[in-house]
Amino acid sequence: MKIKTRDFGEILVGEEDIINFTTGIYGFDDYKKYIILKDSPEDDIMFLQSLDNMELSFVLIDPYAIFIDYNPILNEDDLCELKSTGTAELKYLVIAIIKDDIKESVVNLKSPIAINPNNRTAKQVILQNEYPLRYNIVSTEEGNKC
Amino acid sequence: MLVIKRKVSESILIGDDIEIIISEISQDKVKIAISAPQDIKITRKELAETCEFNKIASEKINEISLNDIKNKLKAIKN
Repeated sequence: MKIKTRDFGEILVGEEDIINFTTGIYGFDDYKKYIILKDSPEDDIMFLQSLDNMELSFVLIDPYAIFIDYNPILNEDDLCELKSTGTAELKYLVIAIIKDDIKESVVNLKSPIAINPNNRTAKQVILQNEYPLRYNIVSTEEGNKC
Repeated sequence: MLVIKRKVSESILIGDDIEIIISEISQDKVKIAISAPQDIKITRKELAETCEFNKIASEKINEISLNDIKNKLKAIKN
């Protein structure tokens, strides 16, 4: 099917590429269907484009590219919602705020997007871990406190 | 900021119609029960902060900044 995107014009996607959010991304509860767009498969940075609202798109980053020891702990309700048996089978991506000044660009490690690849169900979860909600993508001089 | 010590089953009143009851305490968690009128919004702070974060994150971004980040991430990898 053909879809309209905010940043890349019209593109073709397969039905199997669609990710269904059980609960919408916080603050955008009405939009449940998204697609992940990447320039190249090796990229750690990608776009989460809404299929319900062409103007809605987020930048996502693979958290392991910037925080190697990322080890999300989800609560039982979230696992149940994602129909997942454990945190290990889930994929995690974090939402980024990209500013003109690279040092001000941050990701939210506290509330990642958890995706169950088996059923393509996703949810923005608030982790049990004490991860920061604003973590600098590029370490500043004082370094990230985590 | 006001700091008060409370035991399990004790409570705090805020104004005339909000009651916060300490219902359970374990090693590093406390379970609280809140009784308040319907029109009072009760939200976990990190949820409200995540909403705020998402609003900013949904704004259209500058392509140059995006490429900057992309290159930095590649540099970290190598």
